[in-house]
Amino acid sequence: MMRAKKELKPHQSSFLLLLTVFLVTVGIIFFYLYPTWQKIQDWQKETRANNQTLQNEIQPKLNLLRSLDEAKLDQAIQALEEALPSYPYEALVMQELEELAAESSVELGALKATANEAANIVTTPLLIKGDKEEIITFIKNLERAKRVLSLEDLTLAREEDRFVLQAKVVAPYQPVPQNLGDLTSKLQALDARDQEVLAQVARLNSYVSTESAASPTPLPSTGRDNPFRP
Amino acid sequence: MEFQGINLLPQLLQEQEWELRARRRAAGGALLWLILLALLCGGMFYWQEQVYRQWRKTDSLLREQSQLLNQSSQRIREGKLRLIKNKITFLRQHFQRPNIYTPFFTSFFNQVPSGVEILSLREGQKPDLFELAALGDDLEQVESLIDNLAQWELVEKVTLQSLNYRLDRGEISFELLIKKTPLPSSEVTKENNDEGEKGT
Repeated sequence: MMRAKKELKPHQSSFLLLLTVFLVTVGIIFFYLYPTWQKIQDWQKETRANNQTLQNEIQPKLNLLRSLDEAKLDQAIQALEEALPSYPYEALVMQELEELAAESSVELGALKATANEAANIVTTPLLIKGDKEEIITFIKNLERAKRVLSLEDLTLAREEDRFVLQAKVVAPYQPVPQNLGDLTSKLQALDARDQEVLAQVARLNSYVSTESAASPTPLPSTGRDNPFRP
Repeated sequence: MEFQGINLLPQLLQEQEWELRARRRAAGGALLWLILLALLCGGMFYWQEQVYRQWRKTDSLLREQSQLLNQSSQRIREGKLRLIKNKITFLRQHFQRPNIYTPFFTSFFNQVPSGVEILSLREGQKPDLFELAALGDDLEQVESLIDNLAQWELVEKVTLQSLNYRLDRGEISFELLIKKTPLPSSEVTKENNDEGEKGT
């Protein structure tokens, strides 16, 4: 009686065997196959991302940097620093205006350059006196100054036989970038449009004389009627 | 008449044999299943190794290239290039900004007929506007100036703001509002460049 209770019946042992196999299968799936599959997916994803970073960012950037000519870069920086310095250099703005005034033969009033660090500009009120040819020459030369300058709030007034020009001179500057960004941040080579700007910068500092500036240029008629003529 | 055999084996023995067969079949099936499972695990392990190797290879290449890129010499070059690019971007905008002063003043005085005296020329509150105050001997001269300015390509519109006879002096004081034609940036730049090349 006792023996019959202990011994498993044949169909029960088969059932237990199949149950064990099922549990082992489930265990293997949950504890090995599925985590491994997930790990593989992650590695594959990471490998794809790394490949993409390498091919699209790191290698092109490295190739670009290797192809750069250090001497040419320094030359370009020097030219650009003169046109657009990294610091305000207020004194240089005044010096530049004095040179321009001398070159254009105009009488220059007092200058007081002030840096506006929020806007990255140096401004100075300008007062010059001269005849019309000299004033025109000064304006032309101001646009050709080796440091880029621009005029604002311009007023031209007659004072006896001369003209007085009052304006605000704006000299921009651009500070050096504080950080380079991360390794994968995009970097573009100098293209044709950039070279054009560099060529334009190289053409600065070529002043015109009063004689050549005053030569009138014939203007084509616009064909518009005078609204005040009946 | 069909012959029917007599099963001489006792019923119990027959049942035991069937159960044994069923047990063997179950054990065989389980074993086969476990072998398949083991093969699957082996395949998965092999795949994992392959993917891991590939991952390590790419990762080490990325590190290697990043280290090369992070060398101070390359970073200095990058810094220089970025500085140049920044300045060029700013300067391009500066050069493209239409600056009318040079073309305007170069020809402005040519538009003024003799006898008209310019008192002041001031930039207006609005952009593209100039306020001109001048003196003339007669209306003909005023009309001639307006006519010249209206036909000038750099001027879009001329408006007479005020006109006063000064009987004691025998002259006319008048004020004009001149609206400039916005110049396309390339035209200004081209003109400046051409003159720059001629310059000393």
